[in-house]
Amino acid sequence: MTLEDVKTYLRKAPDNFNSRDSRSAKQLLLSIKDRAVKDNDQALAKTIWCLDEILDIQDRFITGFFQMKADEFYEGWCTLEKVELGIHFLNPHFQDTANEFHLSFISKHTSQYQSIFPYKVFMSPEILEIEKTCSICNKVISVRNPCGHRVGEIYDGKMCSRFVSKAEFLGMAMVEDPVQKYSVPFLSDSKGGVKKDHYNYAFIRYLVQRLSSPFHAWDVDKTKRRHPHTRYSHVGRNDPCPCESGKKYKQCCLLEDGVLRPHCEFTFQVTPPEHLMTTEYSD
Amino acid sequence: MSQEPNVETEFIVEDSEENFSSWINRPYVPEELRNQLVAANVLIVPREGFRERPDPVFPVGTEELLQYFRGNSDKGISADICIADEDYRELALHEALIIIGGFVVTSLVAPIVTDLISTYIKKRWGSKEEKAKIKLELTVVEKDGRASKLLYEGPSKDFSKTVKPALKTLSERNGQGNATPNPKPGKELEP
Repeated sequence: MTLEDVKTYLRKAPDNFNSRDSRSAKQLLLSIKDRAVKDNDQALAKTIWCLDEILDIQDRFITGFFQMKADEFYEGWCTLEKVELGIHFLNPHFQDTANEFHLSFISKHTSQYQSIFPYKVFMSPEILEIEKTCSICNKVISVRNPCGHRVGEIYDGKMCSRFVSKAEFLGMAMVEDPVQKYSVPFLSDSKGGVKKDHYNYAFIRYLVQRLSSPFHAWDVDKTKRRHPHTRYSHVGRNDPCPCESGKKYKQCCLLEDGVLRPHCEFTFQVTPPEHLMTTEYSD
Repeated sequence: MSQEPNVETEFIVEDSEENFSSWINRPYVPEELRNQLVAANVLIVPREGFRERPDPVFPVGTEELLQYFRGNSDKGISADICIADEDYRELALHEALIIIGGFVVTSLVAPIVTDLISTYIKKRWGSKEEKAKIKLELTVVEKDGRASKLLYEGPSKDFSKTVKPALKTLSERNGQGNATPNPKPGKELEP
């Protein structure tokens, strides 16, 4: 395998996603990078870092797609978060303006997947960072006399970051827009403490069942639509309205044609099989 | 879930009792450091009393911001931070609101600092900058020692266009509309 073969492999992700094995591509990139670092060819080492990141981003996007297809929604969510972060780190160094490696597609669709997940609040740790070291030179960071390596820049084919070597945990907050999206709160079994996934993944399940490739484009229009009252016959007139307005059912949607619920309308670049072109209701 | 943060803008301009010397003379600033901080016309100041803690803290990334300011010293700014190296602590809150921090600046370099902060945010947060919401406090000290505090919380993309007209108004109010940038801090630091 040559460097050009790796680029072709990345360009052809929509064709090879089903039988993908990135190990030889990774191995080749690593050996070229090692040589570039030995020769102090920083430009080549940086190019290889970019290609390696693109490979990871594509692999994770494909993995996340199949995790969602397998009903592993939280795992898929976390994988997509890694895709988002990877693109964020790559962006200052590489712009895929011609969508040669499908990064614009991946970025747009990652954001779209995230938008239809049911997670609304997240745990957000509050941490006092007392001592940090540089990931490139391992020096302890002094605020007035830093080591000179800039966070986010590429040195010897590695991205500079900070390791927190001493910290104090201050607390945990519940937030709507976290920096990292991994910390989703779940319920747990009161006896065994086993995690219970109480979220409704109807939108995301509906979508991925109708996609045969992670590289088939889709769009979503999010609105609200009234669901028939027959679906809520178990809800009493004085119970809270199923639309979650906080009012009583009889004073809210029961006065209308149906219960107002979130509604997603999907459009697909590749039309799904006819028996799947349906409207589904979900609680 | 919606990934877009709440992008309402809160912008307050108010008179302030704080200035360079009130920060430099905080008890946690060592005597030997005070002599160095007097030369600054941009002073990064900490958040005090977070969760009733005695130690002052800075938002995560302040170290990078100080280096960025110092890399732009050719624009007439002399930046420092109101803490001893060994007492420097960063507070990571891990929410989407980007807390840039608190700054005390002379009125003459305030527009330059505003531009630098805008550019820094674009570089630091890249494509996420467009949707980002930021929070910061800028205390602008006039030559006669009077000070105004500008508190901004809102979309990153609107920061400069919101703050710069306010700086111009403050400058006109104080009769410094045509002043030439002077890297030295205001009167209140003179012995």
